[in-house]
Amino acid sequence: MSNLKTEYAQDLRPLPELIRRKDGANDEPAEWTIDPCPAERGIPRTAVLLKHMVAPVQNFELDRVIRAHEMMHAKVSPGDRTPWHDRGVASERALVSAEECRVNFLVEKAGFDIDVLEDGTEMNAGERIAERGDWAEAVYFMACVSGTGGVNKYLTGIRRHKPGWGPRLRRIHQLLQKELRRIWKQEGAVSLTSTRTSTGLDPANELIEGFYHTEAIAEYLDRLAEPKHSEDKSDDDEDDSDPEGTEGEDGEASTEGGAGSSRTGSSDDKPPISKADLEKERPTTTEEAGAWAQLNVKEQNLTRHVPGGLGKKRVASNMGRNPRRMSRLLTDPQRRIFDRKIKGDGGVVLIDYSGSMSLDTSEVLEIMDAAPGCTVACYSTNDFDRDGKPNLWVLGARGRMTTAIPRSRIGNGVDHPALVWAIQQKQRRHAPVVWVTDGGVVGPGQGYRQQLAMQCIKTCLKSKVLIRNSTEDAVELLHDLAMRRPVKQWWPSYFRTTWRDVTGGELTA
Amino acid sequence: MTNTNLPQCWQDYNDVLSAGIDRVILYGPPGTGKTYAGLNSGVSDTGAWRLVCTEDMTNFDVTGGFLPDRDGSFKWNDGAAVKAWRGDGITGGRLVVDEIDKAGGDVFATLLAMTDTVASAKWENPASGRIETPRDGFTVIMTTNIENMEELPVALKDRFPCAIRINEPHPAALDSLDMNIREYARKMADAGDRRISLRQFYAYSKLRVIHGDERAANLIFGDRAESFLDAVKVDTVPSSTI
Repeated sequence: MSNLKTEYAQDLRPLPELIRRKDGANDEPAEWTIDPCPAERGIPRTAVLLKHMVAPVQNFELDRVIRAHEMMHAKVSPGDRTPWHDRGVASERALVSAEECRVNFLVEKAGFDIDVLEDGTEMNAGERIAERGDWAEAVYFMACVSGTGGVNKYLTGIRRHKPGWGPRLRRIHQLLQKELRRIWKQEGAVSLTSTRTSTGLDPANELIEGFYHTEAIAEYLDRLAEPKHSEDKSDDDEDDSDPEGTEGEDGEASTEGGAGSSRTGSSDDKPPISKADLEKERPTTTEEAGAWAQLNVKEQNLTRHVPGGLGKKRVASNMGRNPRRMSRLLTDPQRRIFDRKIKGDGGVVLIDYSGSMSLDTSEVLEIMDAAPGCTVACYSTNDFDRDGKPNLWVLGARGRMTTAIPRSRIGNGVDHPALVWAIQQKQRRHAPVVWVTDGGVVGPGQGYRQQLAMQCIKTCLKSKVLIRNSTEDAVELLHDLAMRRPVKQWWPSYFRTTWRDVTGGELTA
Repeated sequence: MTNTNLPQCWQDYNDVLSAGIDRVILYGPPGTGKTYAGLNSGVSDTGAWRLVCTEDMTNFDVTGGFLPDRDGSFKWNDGAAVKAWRGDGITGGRLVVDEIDKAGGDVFATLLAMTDTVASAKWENPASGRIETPRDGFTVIMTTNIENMEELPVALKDRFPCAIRINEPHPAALDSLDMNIREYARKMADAGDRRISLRQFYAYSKLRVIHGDERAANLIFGDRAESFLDAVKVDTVPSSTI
């Protein structure tokens, strides 16, 4: 008797060819390459632009949900994440984790049972991460498994080595789900899944609308992963009761954790973010998201020679040609009667030349005069400048400066790209970067957006950019730097307010 | 439907015909309406004649041949190519040659002669001795499922300078489908080995009305039914009410 019937294999490969998108990435009819793989974390993947999917094809429920997950990537994920990464709003790891979280949420909304979405490695992953004490990865991985059946196993793994992290990570999972539910209800399902772009023609370079939500969540995850500026150490850390009433699971897990735990209750189990800080942090919404214009740099004719350099000075030396400090022959045991020049660190001065700063030409020249040897640039724009129109002008570099100060184009538009450019111009690692701005950073044709402001604040914190909002203060700061006096950070009120709104903490000098 | 709303391949087809190109190859996946377009699009009132090439066909289909008559004699019957040459006697007609690559050697040679340029094309009717030439307005559309045009003989390619790959069904062919599966039918038409033909979508569209999506998908797509339905579920998630 033939057993052909039972040997007949089903073709359970997914059909991403059917997926419709608005960015043109899957518009033309074309065959996808589907490669089978085991149903294990990290192996299935989807490359929308290459029309390639790696997915399990067996007839199991887990395989089916993984296929749906990959199909959802084909539906909503950007063809290329590079433009998003280049925006610098969130780290690559955070973007990946937040996207997993969004996709899992949408898979459930499509009617699949994502409780089955676990491959048995979650507990090991939790143990490994907790054993290393890698809080950041613990947060990112939490986002990856959030909403799936792997949450409890992951937290169990975490509690084996860091019992104190469990409730905080569970709360992060709850907050992520809450945020996605909010977007789904308030901003609409279409908003969360949209692949619409400005032209719908260039899926590799244009930003899709739905991924703005992912970016906002990713930026939130970055903040939770590295809560460096948490000032407000809460005294309610002891109270880790679950605000949404899932204590039972924590309780159950703590029993389990007790069995395998080697360090239950030790002091280093304390999560890096306090409960109060966690509750204060919140993701930015899409109304608070924005985009910068393209940065177009133009170097003015640098005709004027400016002698000197920021931080350049002479010090006494015991060798040289012209003895300038003869008195030291008697007073200095090392007889350092000669001079030696110490090169300055140089520096970069970036001037916000928008209308809100109300700077005139003489004030710009005054700042330039106070910054000898520095790279000085000003920026201003009023549209997206895709046509290559200059919006950042180099006014001074390599000891030369211009006398032709351009006219302001009123708007800001490129604050963060200009800031990144300025940091890249540092002549030395310790060269100071001074940013003359009132903090009213806005994208072209947009109002003040907290997401953009946060991007600027984080860059300033990371690169220790010194901010001043007036010509007098900037000149004073540059003089202090020239004299190698200690200087203090100062934050404009826009930034202080944004930081407080988003993180619940205070920006300190 | 305006020309600008058409998919690129169909726009190209309309453009070459309206520019007066009279020898066109349409190639690409089956079931996209190449033959239908050849028989109906840009055809004058004279009409169109179709030739479906197979290995066993003879020149009878192309130029014609003798058939026994009632009175025991033999009577000459014109083939499709000669009819198209002649058209209505004043204007030539349209000859649509399907799957020319499948024709045998002698038929292929005859077809080359019949699709030659008007100045060179000439054929003598063996019954009447009359010299036939194509009338003005004679056009030829050749269709094939060959993907690589290099596989076609050089002499044939030389006669058909314009080759257009038809990679999606004509929008008019999709009109009879339900609105919510038209786009799927369009996208699956050129999915290589994984394609789902337009005819399958027609059948699915009818069946689902009576038997519902799941049963219709099982009957039409077989083992791929689950993949199809899952893909639709994922694709329609924004409108999901779950």
